[in-house]
Order: sequence, then C-alpha cells, then structure tokens
Amino acid sequence: MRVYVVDNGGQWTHREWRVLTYLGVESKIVPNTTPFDEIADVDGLVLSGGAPRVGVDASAMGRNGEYIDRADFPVLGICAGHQFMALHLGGDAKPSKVPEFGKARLVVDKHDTLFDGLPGTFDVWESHNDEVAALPPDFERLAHSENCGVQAMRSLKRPLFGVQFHPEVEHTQFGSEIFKNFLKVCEAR
Amino acid sequence: MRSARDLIAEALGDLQKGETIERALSRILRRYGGTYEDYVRIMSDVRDLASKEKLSNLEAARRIAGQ
Repeated sequence: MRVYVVDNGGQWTHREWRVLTYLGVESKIVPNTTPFDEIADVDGLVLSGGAPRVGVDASAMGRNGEYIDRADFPVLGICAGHQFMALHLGGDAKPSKVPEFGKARLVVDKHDTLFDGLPGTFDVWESHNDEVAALPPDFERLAHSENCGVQAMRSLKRPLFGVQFHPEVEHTQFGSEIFKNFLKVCEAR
Repeated sequence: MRSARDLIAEALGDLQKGETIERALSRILRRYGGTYEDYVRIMSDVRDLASKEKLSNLEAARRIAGQ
C-alpha cells in the first residue's frame, strides 16, 4: 500500500512519513507543488501541517486544492492540511480565540473511523493559531477540545478526514492507532 | 440496494484470510454499486454496536448479520 505525505512546510512532516513507514506502508514526502498526475495512483494521501497561518493562506498551500478535488483515495489533513481542507470545501477557518500549543485534552464526539477503538478522551499535541470555525457541507465533527471546537472532522460523502492536532508527535496518545485507522480506510477502498 | 444486514453477511462470507471487515464490506458495496455514504452508514452501525457491547468490529458485524 502506498500513502504519500504532502509537505506543506510543517516542522513534523518527516514524522508523518516515519509513522507511515513504521506501519509498513510505502511512503514518501512530496512537495505541495507536485502535479496530481504524479501521485494519482497512491492508496492514500496525508496533507501535512505547515508554518503558522499557512492553512488559511491558499497561496502557500500549493496544489492541495487539486489533490482534494481529484483524489479518489482517502485524504487525511493534519493541522494546516485540515484547516485548508475545511476552507477549500466550503467551511471556514479563522484565528483561534485560544491558540493551543502543547498538550490538550481531546474529547471524542464520534468514535467512527479515526478514533475507532480509542478512549473517549486522551491527550494530544497541538501547535496552532488558527482553527476550523465551520465544517464544510456534508462533514461531521469527530472530536473537540476545551479551546478548539473542531479537533477532527470527516466527510460523509468521500474518504476525507482532518485533524487539528498532531498524531505524528509522540506526545499524542494513540497517534499510531489513529494512523492505523486511517490506513484501514485506505485498505478498504 | 440490498439491506445492510445482507451486505454485511455477504462481506463476512467473502472475507479473505487476514482481511478486515472494512475492506470486505467496501468490496461488496462496490459490487452492488454502493456509495461511500453507504459504507460510512453501515460501518457506523457496526462500530456503534462494537463500542456499546465491547466487541471487535468483526464480532459486531457477525452479530448484525445474525451469525
């Protein structure tokens, strides 16, 4: 199975690649300017986090919009990737009232898919000034925290997922399990 | 479209060695022209039961299928 990581300039993009590789998936990091046709035959795609504010700056997100529009495989947006996905598909992302840096307590609203088999609350690692303020049409919220209304979301129409927190960072509990659950979706297509 | 119970039963019958129920169900759904929404809906029911009854997804699927 092949799941690539789109590099949006985040500090932990390499960790995202490393988790996937550790889980036995063929993976590589590709620039976010890579033409879609060069990644079209993957089984899944991760849109990495990025520098501060980049998720709400479409001009800094390269071809992420094209990847989301044309993907017939599952896509997981992380942090900036999650915010961009929301904006691109008709939701909204804005500056957070309370930016989160460091550990936060995630509350799972729906155990489906990404949080399948996980506890109802657990610690996650955050690093964001912006957040998803409105879900795109046909998306549902999967988790929240005290200071962030949409910590995770998914589309009900297509295999698109977004997480505000960083599952690739070791301080996030069950980060590897979240990636495994995403890979199950990639396997099931 | 066939009922969720019948689709799950067929997915269970078509399960390959070491394969997840998610993958099998997805294959069966595609066979009958089902959509991703159908998959989400059916797997949500499976996972809800699994969570409620502390079962694996496979065990929950079997229970829904009446096996």
